[in-house]
Amino acid sequence: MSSAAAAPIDRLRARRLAEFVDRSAEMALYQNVLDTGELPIMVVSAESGMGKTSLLMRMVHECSLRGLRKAEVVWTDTLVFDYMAVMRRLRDELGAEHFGAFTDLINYYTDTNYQPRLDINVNLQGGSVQVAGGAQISGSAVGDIAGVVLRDNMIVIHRSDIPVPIEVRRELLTKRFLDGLAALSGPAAVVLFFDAIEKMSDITHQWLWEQLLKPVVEGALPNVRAVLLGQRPPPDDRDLAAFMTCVRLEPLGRDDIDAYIAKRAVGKALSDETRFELAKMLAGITRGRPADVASAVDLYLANRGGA
Amino acid sequence: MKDDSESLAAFRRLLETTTAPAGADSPELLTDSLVGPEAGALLRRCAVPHEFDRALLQHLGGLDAVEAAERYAQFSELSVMQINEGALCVHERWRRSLWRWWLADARRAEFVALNETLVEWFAAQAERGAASAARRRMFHQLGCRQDEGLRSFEAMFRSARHLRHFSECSLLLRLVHEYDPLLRASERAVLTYHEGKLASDLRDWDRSLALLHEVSGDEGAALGLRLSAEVRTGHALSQSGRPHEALVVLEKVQGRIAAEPAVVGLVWRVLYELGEVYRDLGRADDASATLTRALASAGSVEQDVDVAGILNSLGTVQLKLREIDAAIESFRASLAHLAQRGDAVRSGGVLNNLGLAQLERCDWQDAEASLSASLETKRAAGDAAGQATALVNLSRVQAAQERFDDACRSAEQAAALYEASGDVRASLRARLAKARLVRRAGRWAESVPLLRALASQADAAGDQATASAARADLDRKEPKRGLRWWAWMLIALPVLLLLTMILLLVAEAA
Repeated sequence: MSSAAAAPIDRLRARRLAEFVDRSAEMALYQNVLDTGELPIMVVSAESGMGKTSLLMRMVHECSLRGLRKAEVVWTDTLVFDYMAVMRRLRDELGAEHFGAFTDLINYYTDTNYQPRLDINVNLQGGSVQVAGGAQISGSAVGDIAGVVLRDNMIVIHRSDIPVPIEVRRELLTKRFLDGLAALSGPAAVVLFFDAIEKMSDITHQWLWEQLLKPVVEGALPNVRAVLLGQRPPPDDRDLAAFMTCVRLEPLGRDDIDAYIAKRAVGKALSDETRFELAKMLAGITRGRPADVASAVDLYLANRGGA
Repeated sequence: MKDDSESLAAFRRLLETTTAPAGADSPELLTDSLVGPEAGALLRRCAVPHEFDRALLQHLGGLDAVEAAERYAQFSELSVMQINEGALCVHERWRRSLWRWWLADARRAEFVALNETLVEWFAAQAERGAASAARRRMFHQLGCRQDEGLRSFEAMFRSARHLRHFSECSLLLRLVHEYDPLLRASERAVLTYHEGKLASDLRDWDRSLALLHEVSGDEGAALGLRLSAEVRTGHALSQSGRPHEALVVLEKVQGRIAAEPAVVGLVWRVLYELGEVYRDLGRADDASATLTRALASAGSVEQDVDVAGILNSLGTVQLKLREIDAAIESFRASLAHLAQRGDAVRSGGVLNNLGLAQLERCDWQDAEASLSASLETKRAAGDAAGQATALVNLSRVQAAQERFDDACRSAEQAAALYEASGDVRASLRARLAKARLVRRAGRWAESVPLLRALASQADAAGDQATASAARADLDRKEPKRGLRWWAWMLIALPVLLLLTMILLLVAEAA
């Protein structure tokens, strides 16, 4: 995307962030997740239009303020985010240089012209060359070479000429990815965001909880936090529930709507009384659903005449 | 500026007219009120694609570059917009009501024309190699040329499923479901059938059976689809451990398929499924005959036939029937088909079966070669349990050649791999095999502590069968070394006879 095309998008992001209101309880829980790690996974659920995406923007911004590494995966109707695409996205946002061994293996599994660059050991009983296997490295996974960033050939179709079933490839790729994540998150916290998770396929949902997030739940990645937002509940598992902060977004109250209108109406010469009446009206008609409140305020401002 | 109280009253009327929330019943009024009629019409068009960038907006509105940039900036200010991967999209909450508005009969002509332009747009994008463009083109084909769109969907779904890209399959299904109000009953049945297949691929048997049952009982579905759903139902029942129910379903549908020349392409599949069920139920003769017929039927079908799978199944049945040469031939043919398709993943299992067949024929060298190749394939696959199975079989071949040290080593490795893959009972059985091999090697004393340890480990694991077998082996006495009593008798008798004769001769001489 060109910078000219990006400008309206960036303005939209900045405006949404500036107009963010309420959700102080949710943000407090989120800060607790970041600070303590006692409950390393946060699940935010709500129906469409309840402000999940705005909350996500605020959470991401909080990471920036704290200087934390973070990565986002957002499921849409146009792109397929399966297990491989999710890990590729997370790798690219966190820094490909930390995931060389993962990238190497993904190239091995997908590129028929693959040339070994690092360790391609997928055997249980040896028979491969390991580069830098015994080295003491910080911030990188074993198998990586300092200063070498492997290029992912970004092929999505698996090779059929190597006798490794898809399930095994998925498991080994996840392991390599988690090795990279473990090394990266050793010295500092890493936050992973997953939005619109109701659009994720069942198989990816299963993989996410059973493989990718399992070491986070089990404490094997003590500096990794994950936040999931969407209309899909987490797996019904009491053991898992003990490691999660679950939040259901509630509608905005009248005071929050009033605060939102105040932010939107800067320079629009709106009296306190009118703002109060408008907030009261919107609280009733929109039932405090943030997306409806926002579009109703758009509508009001568009039809109020020049201010 | 209007008086605020006046504007509030007017606004309340407007909101009530647009029946907030989300203006569900009047998206036209809502959009026009937000941005004016001209831009409102364009905003509504923007809800048809899932997302749009400035170039697509220009295409949708027939705008020049400057107008498009202005409009894009204007739309990005609206709360009904969301950011999607660096592009804009109408928020799902409003897109849903706009989509329903577009699907109404009154707007059909405009909707079709709009989708035609989007097909053209995404076709050009697809030619330039944009990753999601083919999928998006298919989505808009459904909006203007429904039959063609469904054909594109089926081709894309088949390809994604073949590559085991199940997330893509899910997305394709979700996209087509957006057109549910426009789909005919027969077309909705096709979607349900594909959902059933996908659930089956994901081994979600309950969901798969429910979906397939829905299709097979749907009078509005095409006959071929209903029969296919029944065959898949048989497969799901068989795979979920209900072979008797699978048999009933498959025998019934086989008769119906045989009577319908229009579904000749299904014959091989139903026979294949049925043959495997016969085999699993121990009806080897029926299985052999049915799989042979499946193979013959497969020859008349051009695509998507799993000949390698049929041949492998047939080989296992022939092995059970002791038709060893035929089994070897089937396994070899299966391997050739797999090689032709470049499928290295399944060859490990077939090589193992081939090795077993060669073992039955006492063809030790070939058996060892096949089993070793199977072992290598499974090693490369990281398949611990598969390696263990190959090693157990390899140990049998080595023992048959009286290479007891090699055989013991293979059995020990198998036990360790079974243990690593969590199969404790199989690990104990491999250790029992090793102890017996130690005895066959003539190292009786060495086998005793092995069997004692094994018996207590099997007790601890609750494996009574292996514990009893180990104890029975311990109770067995070591065969005595040297000549048996009857051999001594054979030697002694002639000696006694000779001595008697000498004594008689001496007595006579005296």
